[in-house]
Order: sequence, then C-alpha cells, then structure tokens
Amino acid sequence: MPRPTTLFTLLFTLLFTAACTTDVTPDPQPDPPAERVAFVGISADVGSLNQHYARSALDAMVSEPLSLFLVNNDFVDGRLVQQPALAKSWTLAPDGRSLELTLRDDNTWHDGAPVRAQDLVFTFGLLFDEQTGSRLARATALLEPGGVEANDDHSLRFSFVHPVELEEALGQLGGVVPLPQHLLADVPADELRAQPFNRAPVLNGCWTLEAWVPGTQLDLVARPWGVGAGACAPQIDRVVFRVLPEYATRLLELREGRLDILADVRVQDAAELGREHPEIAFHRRGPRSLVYVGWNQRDVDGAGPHPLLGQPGVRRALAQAVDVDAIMADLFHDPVSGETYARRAVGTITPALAGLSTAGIAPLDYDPAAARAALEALGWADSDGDGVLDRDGEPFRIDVLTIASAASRAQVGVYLQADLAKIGVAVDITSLERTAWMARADAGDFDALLGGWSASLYVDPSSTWHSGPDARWNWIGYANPAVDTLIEQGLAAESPERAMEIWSQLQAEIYQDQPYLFLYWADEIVAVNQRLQGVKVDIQAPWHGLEGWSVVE
Amino acid sequence: MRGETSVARPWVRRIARPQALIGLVLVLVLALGALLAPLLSPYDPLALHVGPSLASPSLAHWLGTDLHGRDLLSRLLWGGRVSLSVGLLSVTLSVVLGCTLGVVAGWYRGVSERLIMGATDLFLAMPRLLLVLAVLGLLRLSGAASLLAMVLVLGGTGWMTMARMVRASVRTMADGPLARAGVGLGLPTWRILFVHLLPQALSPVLAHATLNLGRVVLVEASLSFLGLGVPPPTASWGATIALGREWLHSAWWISTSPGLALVGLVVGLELLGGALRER
Repeated sequence: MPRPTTLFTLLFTLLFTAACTTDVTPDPQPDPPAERVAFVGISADVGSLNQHYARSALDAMVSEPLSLFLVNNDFVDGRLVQQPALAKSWTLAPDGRSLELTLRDDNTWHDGAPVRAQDLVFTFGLLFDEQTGSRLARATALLEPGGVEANDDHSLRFSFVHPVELEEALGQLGGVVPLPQHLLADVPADELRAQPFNRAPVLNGCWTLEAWVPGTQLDLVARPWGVGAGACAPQIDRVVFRVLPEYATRLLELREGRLDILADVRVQDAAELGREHPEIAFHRRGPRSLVYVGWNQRDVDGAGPHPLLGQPGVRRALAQAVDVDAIMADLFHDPVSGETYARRAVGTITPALAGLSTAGIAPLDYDPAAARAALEALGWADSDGDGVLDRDGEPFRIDVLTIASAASRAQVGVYLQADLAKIGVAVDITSLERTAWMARADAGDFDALLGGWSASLYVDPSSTWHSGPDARWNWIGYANPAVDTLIEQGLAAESPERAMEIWSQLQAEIYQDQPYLFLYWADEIVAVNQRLQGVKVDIQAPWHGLEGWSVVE
Repeated sequence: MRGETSVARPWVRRIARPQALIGLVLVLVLALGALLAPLLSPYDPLALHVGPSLASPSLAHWLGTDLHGRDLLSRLLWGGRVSLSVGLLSVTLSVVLGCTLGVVAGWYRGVSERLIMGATDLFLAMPRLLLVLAVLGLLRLSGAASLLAMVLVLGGTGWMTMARMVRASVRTMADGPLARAGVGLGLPTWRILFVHLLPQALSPVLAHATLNLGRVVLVEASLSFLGLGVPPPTASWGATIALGREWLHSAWWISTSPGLALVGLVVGLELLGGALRER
C-alpha cells in the first residue's frame, strides 16, 4: 500500500503538470454572433397558441406570429386595409358572388410540409362544423355552405350567399388561421379543442415555438422561409414573452432594461418613466378597451326580470348617478400633457372605426339628484332611514362581481360604491379569481358584472347582444327583438358603409335600454425600449410584425 | 389574597422584561390608535378626494393619499380597528373552542377524547390559509356577512394547539387532589372543569393566544391582500398594501404605513406572547 506522502507527491505532480501544460487545442473558433433577442412582458400565461381556441386577447396576440394569415391588415383612417400575405393576389367576380385567391407557393408548415389550398379547404370545413367550436367560425358568415374549393394546390375559390364587396369579403375571410390537414385530418372536430396541438402548434408563420415554461416564459424563434417580396426574413433570432403577473415587477423589469416591450403602462408611470428613461419610447394605441358594468336583466333562476335591475328606468338612473368623467380624470389624466387617455363609451363598438356614428346617442349626464328622483318615482324610498333605498321591505343592494387580478377595475369599483351610495344604492364588490368570475357570469349568477371588452375591429355584436343561444358573451341575458334584427341585417350588409349605418342604429337602440353602464374606452400606452427598432404599435396590437424588428445594441 | 398574589406575581415579572415591554408598547400604541380612530382620524377614511390623488406625505396628509385622494392616515387608523377586531374576535373564538374541547377530551377520555384529538390532528394537518381561502371562496359572502364569516373561519381553524394544551393539563389534574376534592364534595362536573381546573390550565393558553393573535392579524391582512378579506371600501391594512403594490415605485407611501403597522403589531404580539410563555 503506497504511503500518504507518495500519494500526495503523485497528486501534486499531476496537478502541477496539468497547470503548466500549454493549450494544445487548435486555433480558437471565433465567437458565434450573439443571439438577437427581444423581451416582451405579459401579465398572464397564455391559454392556447391556436388562434381558433384563443381565450383572451393576449392568447391571440402571442400566437399571432406563429401563423401566416390569408391576408394581413393595416389600419388606415379607421379602416382595415388588406395586404397580401399567404394570398398573394385576389379577384372578386363582377357579380360579387365569388372570390378567387392565389396563394404563395413557397410557404411551408413548421414541419417543412408545403402549405396547399387544400389546407384552407380543410380549415374552412372545420369552421363550418359547429362541433369544432372555433372562435373564428364567423368567417363563414358570408359563405355558401361548402363554398370553399381548391382549384389547384395554390388557388382557392370562395362562393358567397349574396353579392359582397372585396373589403368585406377579405375582412371576413382573411383572419382565418390555416390548419395543417396532414396533421389534423384524422382528429374529430369535437376533439380539436383538447388536442396537444393547441399548446405546441405546427403552423405556417415566420416564428415557431421553441419552449414554453408555464407561468414563466414562452420562447419563439425565427423560421425564415421563401424568397422575394413577402417572404419571411426576420432580423432578430428570438422573442421571449416573459410572464410577470405583478404590474410593479413588469415596470421594474422595463426600467432595468430587462423588457423591451411593455403594454398597458399607466399614464402616471409613463410620465415619470419618460423623464427618467429617455431610452424608452411611448406609443398610444386604441381605443379598443371598454370598461363597463353589465346589469343582469334576469333574476337568479332566469325565469323573470331581475327584481332590482330589470327595469330600464332603474338602469338609466344608475347610469346618471355615476360620474364617469371624474373616474377618467383620476385614472387616465396626465397632468403634464393635460391629456386624458380615455373617452366616454356609449356602446361596445370601438369609436376608432370609420363610419360609426353616435349621432342618435345622447350620453346621460351625471345628475345624482335626477337619478334619485327617478328611483323614487319608481317606488324606491329610504323608509327606514338607513341611507339605503328600499321597496316592499327589500333594500336596493347590489353585488358587483369583479376580477381580482384586474386592478384598474377594482379602482372603478370604489367610485361605483361612492357614487351610488349618494343616491341610496348600496354596492358590494365581490372580487373573484378570473375563472370563478367567468363561471358565475356564464351561469347568470350575479347582479352586476364589472368587466371589460377588447373590441374587435371586425364588428360582430351577435355574441354579446343577440338573444339567441349562440350569444356566448351575453351573460346579462339582454333580449331585444329589434336589436336581433339589426345584428342579422348588419352581418349580411352588402357593404362596409351600410354595415356601419346599421351598427350605429344598433348602438343607439341598445343605449336606450342601458343594459350596461357604459363607462369608458381606455387608450393603452405601450412602452418600447429603443434598442428594439421597427416595432409597429397600432390599434390592432401593442406589437406585431415581429419580422420587421431589429436590435440595436 | 395570598393566592391572587402568587398568580399575579409571575405575570408582572414576565411583563416587566424588556422584550415584553417593547411588545406591550407597540401593541398599545397601535391598539389605542385603532380604538381612538374616530377621534384621531383627520378625515373620513371612505371619503374620496379629500386630498389630491397620490399625494406624498405632507402636513395636510401625514401619510399621503391614495389614487382616489383618500387620506392614508385615516385609513390606517380605521384599518387597525378591522385588523384588531377580526384578530381579537377570532382568537376569542379559538380560545373558547380550544378550552371547551380540551377540557372535554382531558376529562372524559375514551371515545370523546379520540374523536376530539382526531379532529385536532385533522385540522392541524391542513394548511390554514388554504383552508380559509377555500371556505371563504365557497361561501361567497359580501358585506358584513363576509367579515363575520372571516371571524368564524379564522376562529374555527385556530383552536387546535390550545385544545391540546388544555387536554394535557386537565388530564394531569383529573387524578389530582383538586379534582378529587370537587368530586368528593359532590360539585357538578361542569363546575369542577370550568371553575376549578380550567383556570389552572389557562396561563400557557393565554400566552399562546397572544402569539396567535399576531398570526391571525397576518392572515386577515393576507386575505384582504388577496381580495377575500374585508370588502371594499372598508379600510383594512391588507387591502391598502394590495392597492399600494401597484404603485410601489411612484407612490411608495401607500403600502409603507400599513406594512409597518402590520409588522409592528405582529412583532409586538410575538414579543409579548413569547415573554408570557417563558417561566
């Protein structure tokens, strides 16, 4: 057995020799070019990366780069103007009854298979099938049943139920996300929603999902394809979406340069950041975010009108009692610029759209005395002197549901309580986790909902205001036959101008009923670190066109 | 008289310790602030726009204002009433439950003891905050009912350690001279238990209750922070901290004062409870 001193000597010699050995590796390789990465802050994790099953505006925005749509849109002068994308050209028949599209022949799926017209026929076939449950199914509204045919691998024909204009047709059809027939053909339509495909989709866009750590981050990497105009040649390698639920954390990360893009920056913070961080630019976009209070029209079991809120007169009085201008001044006024980043709402269609008229709508003025008088005329009085109106022994007390994570709406709840208390209406605010809020909204189990909409730029009020069974967002149970008729007429309108006339009438009709307390449209402030160039912020999204982004260090 | 002196002296000795005095002062200052809130508050804690929105601390608003222009000093004082009321009521309920169940388990033994101790183990095995969250989430109450529910739930989930303590003491005393004398004199069982035995077991229970009060105040603040506690617009420390976290950078003062008050109260109660527990 060797003695310890021998072992020590051996070990020392080995280490000494290793330390003195010259590097015998060949000439060092040059460092690989640094990866060009952009970081985007998001407030919640994504639910689905398949646009057909996007559950929120965030889902849609994050998953958008994964797909190449039939057409891209620019928003110019209040209108969406279609630009070639997967469809490189199109021709509308002179009678307006059919549309021929020619597709690019160099676009491929993420697995390398070519994108063919048959994939589009397959996708529209799914949309026609109610079992699919796609949120994009409205794209078939203008189409004849089965009215999508492939002429060949790269040419497609759509047939319409009535003559349409080109803008209307492309607007309806262009937003459809193509799905790969070779991967999904064997999946029953009613099982598509639950497919793993929706969390790791194989699509045809310029970006592909590399990693998704739930609740933490989601990495998209560039996937160049094609040559020539419209081909994909990104100037950065990777976009990382970082999930940061706390607003203060997102703001800190932006401040420290660990985020390049942050949407929904508050007015007060933007003013301060602008002074301290000249490298951050701010873009104002909107208005697309509506905040409202939805009054339940039905009682809890749905059998009759809501005992407190079922009468339009009561709802009008409540609307008169809330000082919306004061709310906007507190939450959205920038004392430096003097601007207010919000405007009063009178409907659910964004006022950014050209041709939308509010001529028939006179917003109710803040008048608590008139509101109180109106309620007293309807039989409400404070008979027991407790400060809360009552009728037949029942106090006028309403429970307003709000989503706990939506901090700005909780702030609105404070004003709602204070203003309605002045006319003798007691308001309880129940703050729920988003899923619980949705469950109660779906079940009609509420008095009022403090909610928000991200308004679509393609107007389709049917899911919110139609009384039919397919109106999935009509939680309040609003039913007005005249509104149903206007919705059907508007969706079938022969031109965008005519549609806008109908939508204007529709808003006026709904405003008369006051099913919502329409509060405000908020503009969004998007902060972009100027190391990231080419970011396009507009009403469509706080970020899009990722292939145009570049990094300047 | 001799008995009173012998009971009082250890308490006096324990409270005279520096750590207990510091704790006592902290607790007294905050409790008096809460108690005298109607007199001390410069403004109505619920009134909007009593000052500019997000004003930093000044002579007019010592602790500043929040987004809605509410005075934060007033909300701090009134919020203390909520925290302390919820805490005291919950802990009282816990003490009553813990003592009753502990006495019954320690005296009767057998099936009663096994059932009560089984329930104790079951409750101890459950994470308290999760249990409270689940119950309050299921009850879905609003207004004053939610406050009452919180007291009941917090009190109903804080009795277990006290039940164990009391049971151990009563079990020991059940074979002792005091219990035997009571039985020999023909006293009713309830009197032996609650008039003669329980007071002997109360000292550690009260020390534990003091410690528990701090924890309950913390849970109440956590629930309010999560939006499940005291409903708005009632002022509460947890809700104010939650509101302020959105403004940590630009309006640090919103969260700071209720945060410090909460820390002060909990530390004070821990120091006091710790001193009372020591022999």
